[in-house]
Amino acid sequence: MIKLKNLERVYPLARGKFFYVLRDISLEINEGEFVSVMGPSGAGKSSLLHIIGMHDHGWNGEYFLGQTAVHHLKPKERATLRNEQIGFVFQSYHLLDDLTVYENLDIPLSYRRFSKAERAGIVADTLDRFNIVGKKDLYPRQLSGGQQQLVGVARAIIANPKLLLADEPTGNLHSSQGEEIMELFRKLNDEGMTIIQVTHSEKNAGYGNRIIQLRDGWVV
Amino acid sequence: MLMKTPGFTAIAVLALALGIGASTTTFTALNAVLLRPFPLMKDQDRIVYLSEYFSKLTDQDAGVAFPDYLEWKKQQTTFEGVGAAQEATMIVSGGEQPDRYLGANISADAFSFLGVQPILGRQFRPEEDNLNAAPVALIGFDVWKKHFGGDPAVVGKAISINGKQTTIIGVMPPNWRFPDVSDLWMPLQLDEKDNPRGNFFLAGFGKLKPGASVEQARAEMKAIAARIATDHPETNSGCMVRVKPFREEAVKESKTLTLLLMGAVLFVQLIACANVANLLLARGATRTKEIGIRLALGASRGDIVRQLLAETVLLGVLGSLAGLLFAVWGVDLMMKAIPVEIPYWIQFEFDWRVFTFAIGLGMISSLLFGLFPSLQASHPHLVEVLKEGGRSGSGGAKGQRVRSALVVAEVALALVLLVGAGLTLRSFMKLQHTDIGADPSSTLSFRVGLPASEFPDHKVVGRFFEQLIPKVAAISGVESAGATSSLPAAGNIGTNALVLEGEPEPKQLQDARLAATLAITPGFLTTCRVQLMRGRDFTTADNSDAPRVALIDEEAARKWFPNVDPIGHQLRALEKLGAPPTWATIVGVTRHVIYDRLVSKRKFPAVYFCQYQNGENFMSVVMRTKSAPKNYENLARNTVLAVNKQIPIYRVYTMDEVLLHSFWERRFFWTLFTVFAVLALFLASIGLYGVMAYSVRQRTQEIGVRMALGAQASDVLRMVTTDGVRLIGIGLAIGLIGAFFITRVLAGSLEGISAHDPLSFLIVPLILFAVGLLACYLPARSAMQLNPVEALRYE
Repeated sequence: MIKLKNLERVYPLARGKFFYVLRDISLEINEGEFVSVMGPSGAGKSSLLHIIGMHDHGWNGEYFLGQTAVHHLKPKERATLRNEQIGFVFQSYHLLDDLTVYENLDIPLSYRRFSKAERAGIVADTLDRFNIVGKKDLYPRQLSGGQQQLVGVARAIIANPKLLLADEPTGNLHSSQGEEIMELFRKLNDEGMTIIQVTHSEKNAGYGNRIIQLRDGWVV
Repeated sequence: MLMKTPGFTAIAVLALALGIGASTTTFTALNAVLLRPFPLMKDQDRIVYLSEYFSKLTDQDAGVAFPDYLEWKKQQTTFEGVGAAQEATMIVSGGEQPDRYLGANISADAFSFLGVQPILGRQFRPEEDNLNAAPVALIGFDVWKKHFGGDPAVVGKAISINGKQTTIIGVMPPNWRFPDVSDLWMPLQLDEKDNPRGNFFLAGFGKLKPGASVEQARAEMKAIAARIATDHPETNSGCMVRVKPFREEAVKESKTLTLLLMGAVLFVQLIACANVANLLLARGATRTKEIGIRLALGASRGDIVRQLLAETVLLGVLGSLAGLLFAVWGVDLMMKAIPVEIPYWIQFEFDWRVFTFAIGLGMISSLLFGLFPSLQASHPHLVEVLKEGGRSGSGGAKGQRVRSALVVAEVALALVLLVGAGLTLRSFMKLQHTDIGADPSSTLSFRVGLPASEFPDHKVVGRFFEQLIPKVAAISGVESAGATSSLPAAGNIGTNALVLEGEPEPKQLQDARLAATLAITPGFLTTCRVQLMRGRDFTTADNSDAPRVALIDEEAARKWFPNVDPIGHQLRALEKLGAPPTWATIVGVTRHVIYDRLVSKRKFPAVYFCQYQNGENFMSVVMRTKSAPKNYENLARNTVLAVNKQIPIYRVYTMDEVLLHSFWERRFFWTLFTVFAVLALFLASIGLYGVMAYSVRQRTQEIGVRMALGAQASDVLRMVTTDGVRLIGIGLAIGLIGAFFITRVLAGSLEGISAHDPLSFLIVPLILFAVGLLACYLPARSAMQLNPVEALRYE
């Protein structure tokens, strides 16, 4: 599903020097895989995830998503492709404070130009599926961390992406809440969704079927 | 703290300085016109203006007739002194070139009761008002310096004024040019025979006795006027006396405009305050943590508010100082924008009132813009802000609402000002495009004054112009030339009572036919391209030996000869009592020309007499030129000197300039109003930009999340601009309602349009909307360019 070839991410430094965040990354991830990216802080894990998630365009190399050569796409085309295929879960949830749970779930659908009626139906199904119907009118600050991340995952998959990217999804949660989220990921993966997560936790990495180790920007 | 945030401090001080600078500039004008005492005059609260007027024309003062003035002096008991003056051109000759000054013939005791002493020499003596007294003059300080080189022995010297040897008896102090812009003074020395009742040409004034009130003076003058009317019903029936404080009369033209400008500029200051309040709210939000720590360390809320207010007061003081600097430039620019000589007592000086105003405005503003942000910042949510890694805060929803409300207020205030500016602009354009009945393009005019001592009768005067006009017309590049006693749109037109052939003479002056009367030479109508509708123009054959002729305008023809051809009929001006009637035959009808200032609402029919038969001593010569008229000034001067080397020319203006001068106050008002409105637009746009930019900064993370969730650039643009457009929309709606009511105060200053002119109310909001949209677009554009990865890291 994903094929990266000689991918590099470089930040220019002062006096003409460069800092390599990712170096010569070449890897393949197949459809249906649940991959965990691990490594020490500063290894380039989150940077890799944002490149795969097409939030970052400043890289070199080749990136194929399915049959599409992402490296040949313009930013607007990448955004369209991302909206069709990818969902993203953040470590600090990034729910919008001024919106209710319902409205937070509605956002990705509104950006994908679903009609209002369609959006209402999908949001209702998702609330039901994640068992958070009773919380639909609450604001994020009225939820626990685990509940907020649950909404974060629901929001990431609401537009039915093929690929779910998660950047330390349990990093801000205590262990039991973390387990719930990981169980949810396993269930989604069982249903056929490809998942790539960044994690520091061996235990969480154990939910997946492959681990990619990064160190100083290199795959090791 | 202000030193640590130099960017914030600079922007806040600049916004305040712009507002305070504009306000102080306007206040300097208001101070000069309405507040500063008249220079040198003593007990000025007892000085009053006096004028006669007719009960049929209550809004127009006629002036004072000389015999009536003499009666007042004899009969009154409530005044310490009653005076009269008549401004006059005074030509001082004897040097290499004659110099022309504006002077005044004034009651000999006037300067005494006004409390002004000469710095050299003596005052006039009462007996020097007598007709046969030796000619004496007081000279102004500038004349003493420029014409006599400040010679201390000037007193006692004899000089030629208007051809008459006159002894200088004293030098008046600097800053004394009473009544308006006079530089030389001579006693009245009027002859009652030559200036009989019914000729209201003097400017009257008086000084009340200590303890006497204006009301008492009014009652007494009313009784005196009634006695004169009983004795002389033919001239004084219905004639009343107006008595009012001197300043009230002096500022009647400018008071409303000055107060309107002051109101307008305070709007600008309010917008500036809203801007600074917005900056302070945003800055307070970024200081939440610092304030939280101070509170946790034991500071009371009062301590915090005092600390923050001290900073805002300091901002106010800095704004005042920088504003004063702007005001120095502003006043300089304002004075350059005044195209005419203003009365001597209007002095744009930075006195204690101006300084107090600037500093006081800074202080009041600092409380206005500082109090709410200080109160808001002084009670943060302590637990939240003191958490490890706690956010610096956004000032909360309340702070955001206040910031939005301030922007709405700014937009509304700016709209009111802009609509006002739009209305004054439209009014100005209407005035500028007024059809005056003549073509002012490519014409140069200048004034020529012939002293009565050297040009004693109309034959001598006529001969001078018979010689001069052909010579001016013969200048290379001049198409034609002519002369008139009053220039179109200049406003120095006199009205006269007229009698038509076959009509009885009116028993009372107030029942007479009134018309604007002027003397013109052949060539004037052609030069000014005034259309001759019927009959013929004057010719050189219409000289003092030929039968008297006259032209009337279409207004006169319509009013006085509704069903007959006026040509061949006769008319005459109502002469002095006892003078033989001098009939003139109407030989032509011209188009109506506006001789009053364009802002005047008067409309009198006009009657033209031929200068060669009439002999006016003071005339404006007009020449139509083939190239830029200004280039002909020296040629014109030399031509006049070639005819008579003692005659200077003055008031040299193109006719286009004369036209502009005719409504310069409106133009001046419009210019300042527009400057203030543009300033308001600028400040409101900056305010809107600031709020939108701040909002984008606060929402960086949200925008990043939205982009990560699929929002495209257009979605972000829409999101940001929608918020801005909502604020602009609310501001415009409130502003339009405000403008609808507030612009009513402008109604009296508008020409040809209503205070609710639809075009101004339609176009101005569109302009403001477009500028506001741009102010929103800039932060929205930076939001569109956000890197979601960076934005997600933003805290």
